[in-house]
Amino acid sequence: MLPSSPIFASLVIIGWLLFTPSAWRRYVATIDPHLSPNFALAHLTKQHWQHPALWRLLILGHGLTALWVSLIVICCLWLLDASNEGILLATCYALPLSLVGGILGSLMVSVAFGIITGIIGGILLSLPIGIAGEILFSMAKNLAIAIMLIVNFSDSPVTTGENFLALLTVWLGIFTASLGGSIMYSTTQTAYNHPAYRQMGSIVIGVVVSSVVVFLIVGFTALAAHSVTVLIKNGILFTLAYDTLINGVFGLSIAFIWFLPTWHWQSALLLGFATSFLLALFTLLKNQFFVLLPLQIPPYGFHGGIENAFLYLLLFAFPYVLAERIANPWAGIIAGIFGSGGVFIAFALLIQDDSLWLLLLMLSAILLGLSFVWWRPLLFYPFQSAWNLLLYHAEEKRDSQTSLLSWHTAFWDEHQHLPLFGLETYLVMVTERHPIIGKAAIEYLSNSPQNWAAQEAQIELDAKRLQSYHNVTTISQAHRHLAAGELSSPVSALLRSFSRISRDVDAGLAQESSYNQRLALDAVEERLDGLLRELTRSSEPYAQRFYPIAAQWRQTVADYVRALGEAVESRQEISNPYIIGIPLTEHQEIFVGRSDISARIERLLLDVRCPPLLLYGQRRTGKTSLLNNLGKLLPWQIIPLFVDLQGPASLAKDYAGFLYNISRAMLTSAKRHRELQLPPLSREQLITDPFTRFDEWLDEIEQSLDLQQTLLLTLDEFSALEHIFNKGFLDEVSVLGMFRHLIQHRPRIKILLSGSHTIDEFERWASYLINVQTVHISYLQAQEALQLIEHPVKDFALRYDPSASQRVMTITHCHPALIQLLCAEIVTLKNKQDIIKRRFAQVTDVEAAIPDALQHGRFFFADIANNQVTKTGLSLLRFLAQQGEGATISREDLIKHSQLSEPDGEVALTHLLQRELIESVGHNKYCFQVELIRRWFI
Amino acid sequence: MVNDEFSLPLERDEVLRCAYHLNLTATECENLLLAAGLASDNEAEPMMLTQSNLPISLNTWHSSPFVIGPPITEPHQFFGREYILKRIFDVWKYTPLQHIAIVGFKRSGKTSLLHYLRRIIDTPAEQLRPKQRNNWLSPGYQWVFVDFQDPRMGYQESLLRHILIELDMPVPEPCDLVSFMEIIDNYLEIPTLVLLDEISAGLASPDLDEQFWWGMRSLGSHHAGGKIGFLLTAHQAPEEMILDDNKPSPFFNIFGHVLYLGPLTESETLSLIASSPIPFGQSDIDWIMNQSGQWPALLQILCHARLTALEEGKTDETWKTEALRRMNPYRYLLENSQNE
Repeated sequence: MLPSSPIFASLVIIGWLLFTPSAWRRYVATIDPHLSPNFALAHLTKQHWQHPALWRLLILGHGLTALWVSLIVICCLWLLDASNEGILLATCYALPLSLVGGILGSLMVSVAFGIITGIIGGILLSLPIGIAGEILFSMAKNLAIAIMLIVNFSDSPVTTGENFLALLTVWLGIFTASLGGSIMYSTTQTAYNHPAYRQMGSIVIGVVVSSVVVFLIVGFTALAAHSVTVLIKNGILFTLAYDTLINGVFGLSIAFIWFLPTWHWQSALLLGFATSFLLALFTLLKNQFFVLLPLQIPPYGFHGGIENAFLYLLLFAFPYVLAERIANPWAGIIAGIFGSGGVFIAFALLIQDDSLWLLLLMLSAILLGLSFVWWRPLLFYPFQSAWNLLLYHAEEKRDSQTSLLSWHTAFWDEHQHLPLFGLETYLVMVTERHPIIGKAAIEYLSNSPQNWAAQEAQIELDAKRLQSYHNVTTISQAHRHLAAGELSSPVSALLRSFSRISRDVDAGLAQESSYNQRLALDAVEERLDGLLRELTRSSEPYAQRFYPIAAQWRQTVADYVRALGEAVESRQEISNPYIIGIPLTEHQEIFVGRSDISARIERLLLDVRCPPLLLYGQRRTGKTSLLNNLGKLLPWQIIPLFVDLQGPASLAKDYAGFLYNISRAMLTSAKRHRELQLPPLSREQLITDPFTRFDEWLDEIEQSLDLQQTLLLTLDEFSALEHIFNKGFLDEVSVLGMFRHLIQHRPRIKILLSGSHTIDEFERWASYLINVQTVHISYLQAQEALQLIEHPVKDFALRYDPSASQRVMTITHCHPALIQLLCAEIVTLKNKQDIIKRRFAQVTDVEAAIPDALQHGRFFFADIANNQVTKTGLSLLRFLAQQGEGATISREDLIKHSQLSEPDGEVALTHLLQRELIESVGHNKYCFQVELIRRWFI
Repeated sequence: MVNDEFSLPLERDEVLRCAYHLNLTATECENLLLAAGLASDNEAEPMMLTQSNLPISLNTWHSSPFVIGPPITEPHQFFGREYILKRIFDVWKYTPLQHIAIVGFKRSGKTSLLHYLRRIIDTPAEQLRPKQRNNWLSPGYQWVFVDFQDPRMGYQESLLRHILIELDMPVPEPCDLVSFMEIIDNYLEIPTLVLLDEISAGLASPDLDEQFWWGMRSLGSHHAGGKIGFLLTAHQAPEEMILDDNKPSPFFNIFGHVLYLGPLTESETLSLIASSPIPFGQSDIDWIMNQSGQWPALLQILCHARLTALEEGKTDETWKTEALRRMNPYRYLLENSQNE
């Protein structure tokens, strides 16, 4: 705590007492935490005396400061142009006065009092002596005056000039005692907290005690003076008697004063004796050297200093100890001041005629001294302001890890109650540069007279922090920083508002969906609007500071909400409901139409003699999708049993496997379409006699059905049978024979074949599949196509211009797969467009989607080119495609182009017609059926 | 009900797979293993589950930023293809899963794309480049990668076994197509994407016959309730592949989406170039873009050459000569794209 250098340390101790009593208190606490800051040496125990910190304090506070005092006195007198003798005398006087006075103060009153009166008294009381060149107001003179007055000497023994200096000395003495008392009292933490009645009581007690003491002293002196007069008159050794009397009085007084607080009469006597001895020694020395003129001054000064130190301190300490014992230190201080001052005043009043003037003068000294801690800061304020300003500028230019802030007077002058303007700015600057230092400083100042600056700085820092949140993420975290402190600040309510808003933003951002985020942040925006309105109306001093912040937050949140909205909009893509390439099942909403075909199938099936049906249509016209959806389209009595002949059935290597796979597909299908659990059939059961067992199983199924129920065995991709037969594992006759038997003898089981081949293409099968009735599946009806384009699913977000829908229908010729292909591309295309245009499709969009549709549906078109037409047919298609949209070519021209003979050309044309790639228009003219397919062949 | 005769499963994996499908707890699983006469081994299991058969190394994070030769398997090293990725994932967002064909020249980045597809969704953001998107699909898809250039994939049995093992499903004995489809029918619940790399090699395999492809088609259209999606890559145009006389026509018919892998876009190219740890000069960037025709494979070669030269402190232009020399075998990419 104290610097290691003794010189600095002694200055620091003085600084503590004058400016930073809390540091003094902390130092005293290191000696003993229970020790009062205004402790006197008389209060100490043995343990205290063993503490090095105490010795350091005493040595520095008394020893070193006495030297400082002497030096200051020399400097001052030199500046005041005093005589050399005067300077020497004053120096020799100041040193013991400061040292002895200080120690006596520490012993009996308080160490703080001792140190401060040692310094102040040492300086102030020595200066008049230096100026006068002799010891003013010495004990001898005082008593002599008293004697003279009492014995009625008619002429005054003192000159006017000396009289003035003597008065000044008295004034300074009273001032010093009052100042010392007030500083001593300021070291106690409760200095400002005593209630008024207690202070008043203390003052009354102090005054009473001091009056008693003054009366006693004056009375005693009068008695003593009378005795001395008798002695003088009798011619007995005046000096000897006088000095002995003085020494004796001092010794006794010290013993008595020491005895009062300690109740140790031995130590009191010892101290009294030692004091008397010391004084006697110096008196002897002074008297011995008196005759040797060159060495006369130092002992004279020393003696005077010691004697006056005793005189002043005893006069203070005697009433102090009494009053302090009766009441408290404050009463002691008052008693001490009035006691010591009262004696001087009493004597002075005896000398002076103008008693009122004198009384006022002395009272002014008391008041000035006692109020030192109040007026000193006022006196220092301009200088402190200048110092602080210089410090601030130095800090501004500084680029270091440390700060000069601790040199600011706010941190070392605890008595300065006047606002140190600029401190708040300084604090903000330091906190921004060194957050830890700044935070600690603000915390320290919030319990000091400069707490306004701490508050202002904190508010400004909060404002700056709030201002620094430039995006919603940081705003959402703001409440975490605002959570601590700021409770009693004038902006608490405002900060709570910001904190709440930050929490709301945090909660808003935590929402998973953008929509909910927007909802939450919209509410935040409204709350910020409310806050802004409140700030506009408010007359609060900080409203102006926080208004732009709220406005900035509002803007940030609004920008985010807008961006979120835009992002949502831009992400708000139209979902693509189209399913390309794979057959639709009953679960897909997108399956439209075909009610005419299903109605026809239903009609045919209701006929008991219903022949096998063939669902014939070109590839990708939706045969399988229709079969998958028959469960939905047909009445519940008809149970569709779907078997994909390109599926596991085709993989069979024997009849058992073939029939087992068919049976599995039938079981699955019955369950799927009608929640019907057909009797199981295991592979093992089929091994021995597969056809018989299968037939028996069909019997079991029929028996399990209701009377009205009919089974519809749908065999998809029936042409795959040919491949199966070609593999050689299965015999055509056996398999087809089984189907013929089924057709002929099981009226409750109907057969529906499906494929892109007519039965005529499998001539030899005709005898087995008797009288096959073909159900043609081709393009969708216009209404169905329109539904697929405009309302493929419920709440489809894309709307079509009627001309655009029409264009799709024209281009695709209502081919279901091609509508899906093209419409899927249109959706993809629209999703790439701006949100404004996204949800409305026009003819241009349809046209723009065509190239992509051709590209992405390449397998569809390539299948036609590669697998569905002959080379000649391909050439004809390409030729026809070149003619343009809707162009027709005559039969002759086409045959001519094919470079084939008439019959062969005819065959090629017929094949293309059969494949539903071209159609006949008018007389002998042909054109492409589907524009989109034409475009592929260009 | 239960015969005295029963046989214990031979394969520990089978028991574990059963335990998985029965949703058994760890203790129950252990008991099942013991009942099957197999020693329980708590540590072996997680290892088996986490091991991948595919050559993916997680240690390549700090490897060269430019990869020449092998396909890119680390998502953070994959650049571009935003449009194609969007189209693919848009299709796979919904069920039934639709089938996609990716057509591109050799070295156009088809295999890298497949690796990226199957890894990106489950790769955490910290293993990706900043702003690299990985939320195309919600997690929960399973992926099977079939490389037809691997000779084992040319045989039905090993191919189907590979798929079932990848899907963590029971493997029937023998593992034929019918049993395979039965297993898929019964067990497949998680949306599954089967990535068939270099389909032409599969088509050329005699063991993968017409019926096999019919089966695959059937799987893709009727079975598995739309939970299985195929993506194939081919370097041939569809019209060159699908011939009825040739085997797989019906299989190809289920591929309603054909996407072409071309060069990268300009911004994609620039972001690939910008991934170099040592930035390239503008003239170098222009030269690389120009010479590569923005084909990723060529970009990798040129960028690698430039980076190596910079790392070695070479200031001359020899790296260009070297890079062009290394690029020579793939010049067909540039020629073909010019023809297009």
